[in-house]
Amino acid sequence: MANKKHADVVIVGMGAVGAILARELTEAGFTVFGIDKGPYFRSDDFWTKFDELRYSTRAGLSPTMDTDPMTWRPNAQTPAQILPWAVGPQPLNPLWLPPSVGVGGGSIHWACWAWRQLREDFRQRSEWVERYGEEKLPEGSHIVDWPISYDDLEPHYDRVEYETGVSGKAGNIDGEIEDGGNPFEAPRKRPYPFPPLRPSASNQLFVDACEALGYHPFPPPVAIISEDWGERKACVYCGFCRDYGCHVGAKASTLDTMMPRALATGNLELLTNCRVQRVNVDAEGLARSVSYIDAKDERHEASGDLIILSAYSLENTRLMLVSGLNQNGMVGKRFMMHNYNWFSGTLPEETHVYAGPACAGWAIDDTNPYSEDRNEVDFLGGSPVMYFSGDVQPIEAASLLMPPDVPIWGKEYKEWLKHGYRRLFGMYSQMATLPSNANFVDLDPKVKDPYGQPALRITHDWDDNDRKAALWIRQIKHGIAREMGATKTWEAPLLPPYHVTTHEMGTHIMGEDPGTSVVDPHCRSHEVPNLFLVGGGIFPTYSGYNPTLTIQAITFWVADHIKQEIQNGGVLTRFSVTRSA
Amino acid sequence: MDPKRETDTTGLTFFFLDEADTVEALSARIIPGDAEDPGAREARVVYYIDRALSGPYFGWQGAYREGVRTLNAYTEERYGKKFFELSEEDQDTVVGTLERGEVPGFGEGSEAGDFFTMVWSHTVEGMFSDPAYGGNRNAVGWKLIGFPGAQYGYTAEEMRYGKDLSDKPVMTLGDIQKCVRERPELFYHRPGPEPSVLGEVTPEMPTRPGEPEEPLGEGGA
Repeated sequence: MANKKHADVVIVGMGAVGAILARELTEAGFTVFGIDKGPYFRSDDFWTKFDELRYSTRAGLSPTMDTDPMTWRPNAQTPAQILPWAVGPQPLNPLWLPPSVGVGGGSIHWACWAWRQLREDFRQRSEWVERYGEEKLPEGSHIVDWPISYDDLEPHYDRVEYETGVSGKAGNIDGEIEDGGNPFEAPRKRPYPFPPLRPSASNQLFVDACEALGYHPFPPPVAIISEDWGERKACVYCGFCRDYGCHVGAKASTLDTMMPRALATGNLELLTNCRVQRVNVDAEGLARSVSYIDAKDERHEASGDLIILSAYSLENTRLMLVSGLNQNGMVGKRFMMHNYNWFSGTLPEETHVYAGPACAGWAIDDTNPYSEDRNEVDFLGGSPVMYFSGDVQPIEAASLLMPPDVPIWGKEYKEWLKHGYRRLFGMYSQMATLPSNANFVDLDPKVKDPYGQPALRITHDWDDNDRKAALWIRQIKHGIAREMGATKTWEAPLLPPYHVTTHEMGTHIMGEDPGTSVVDPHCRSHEVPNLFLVGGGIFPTYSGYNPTLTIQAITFWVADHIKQEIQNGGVLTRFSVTRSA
Repeated sequence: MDPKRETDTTGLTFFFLDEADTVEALSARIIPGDAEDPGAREARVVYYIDRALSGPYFGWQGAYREGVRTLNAYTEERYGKKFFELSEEDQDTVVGTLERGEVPGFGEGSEAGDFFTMVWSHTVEGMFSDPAYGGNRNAVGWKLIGFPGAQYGYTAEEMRYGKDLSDKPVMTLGDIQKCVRERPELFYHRPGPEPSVLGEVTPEMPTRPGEPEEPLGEGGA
């Protein structure tokens, strides 16, 4: 790396997306600055990760309100406040904050569910209009078709699965339904590279109950390897999974799957513990550099011919707004998230809910939006129901997962803890909010971070569609739990009191029309031709699936496009993106 | 002083003595117990809270100092005693009043309920966090609920429905750290160069059968 001040490409955010782009582009010969707010973790940094208080209760890897404040209000008529669920003495839940910072980002501590979306999810508007008619689309919603299809992404989904290591059982290979997999999944070219993980034994009660009820349970795809692979070891079922780095390298963190090759090229310079403050665009409307503050609080500029924002949907959008890049007013719009509808229960015997990853529990996808006629229900949406059979630690269970009818102090509380924790099980789902004008993000007019940067303000509330969808899927979980012989069940509030879920989508959506979207089908900004925004923010509609695999498939799709554009002398070469010798 | 005697580490780093006694008594109402059936007192939850307050939770120092003072002013007025001097029954009555936000004197914007929530949250943390943090002494909190602690992993045999794992030795963070030092080969070593140490050799990422040998081209239009 000759010149520290300039690189061909500047990548802001080296997480689940940025590290992939860094590897792809450095291996293609480009020099890259990889900037991240957090540190570069070495593999031994996570060898002693077995600490719920540090990583979960205190959200040790996540950006918290003291350094990265955000505000929320339910609607534009109500004043915003710093995220109320993320301040105060109660335990934090990293699931109610943005994903972790540091190289690897959220892919260090995610729960690792690795679903593909369904083919229909990419053409949600057409599907629902065909099935239910246009009148059924809720008023004020902006449900559209994606400008790219499942078939566009299929080879890239395959790449993510084989290059990062996803364990699962295929349900549909080239149109042939395979026994033991998800019969509803979109067709895939070939099996998963690794067989499914071992679930905890209470999982069998879930499976038996689902089959008795006529559902089709299967092991969901997970980005945790079930067999040794090179230096990475197979999962050892430690149960410190979601919220934690992996001590054996089983989880697909881009730190482990992408960074080694990126660093080996010699073309990558990591700028860690650096906070980007602004994207600088010149008089001709081209992005030229980013301004950032380093760990010593000194200000710098990193210039590049190509600038990519991959710092999470919300941070990407905040940077765009702070930089004054919102010509068409679409930046911040179509804010979407998941309603997890946590469902908990106890079974007659020990479930070892502290052992194994949560995502090793099986799932049903009979509840997806296209597998049954929804004319008799008055909502749009669907989601798998996922059995949560591991990964639950004591503090979370004793504070955030308490049944509402059990006292939280005294003899009864102690008795509950003594008998309840060891018999715990859970189910969850992900009904997506619909894209609408009511839910959006912008800059808070008052609150700033310690560096004087405006905080992001979230305007979001659950609506009628969310309520009906949640009620529907809750009663399905009740049915399964009854069939399982649960001794007790309880649920989180139907519509959660928190509005950040690590699954924030939209706010810089993809579309062909520059008037109604922020990026084009290859994630290039409509407004600034050498600026790309990659991540969940590009989703114009949302599905019931965890978004990471789809986001990473899109990332490979974008990387290929960038490389080919430059190779073919496309528009990007106007901006002097050069290869190193 | 007898040189063989183990150093007493129960010194308080933030609480004054009567504050510690008050918070300890509160924690013991939240998770009651005794020597045979340990609760928050036996787990030394008050030491967890004390260390947290002189450390990462220093922002809550004022809330504890004021809250304890207000609580004891209330119990002095009502019972003629400080909270920790009351009978357990009376303490439970007061905790109920506190939980409902009905103890007077907490002032605007800082209700009695908030004080209860804070003490409760920290009690739960102190009961169930790793003993390295000062609470959960001898892992009594974990043993109460059947949590084996910082375990490297579990076997299929251990993960059988209904299997009683109470004989499995509980591991703390300190235990697993010893394991890390003694058996580093059990843990993951990332291949390839670290940042700022750029080697010349490209590490070979291992292939699986069927893994594409060339990067895939752009799909679709």
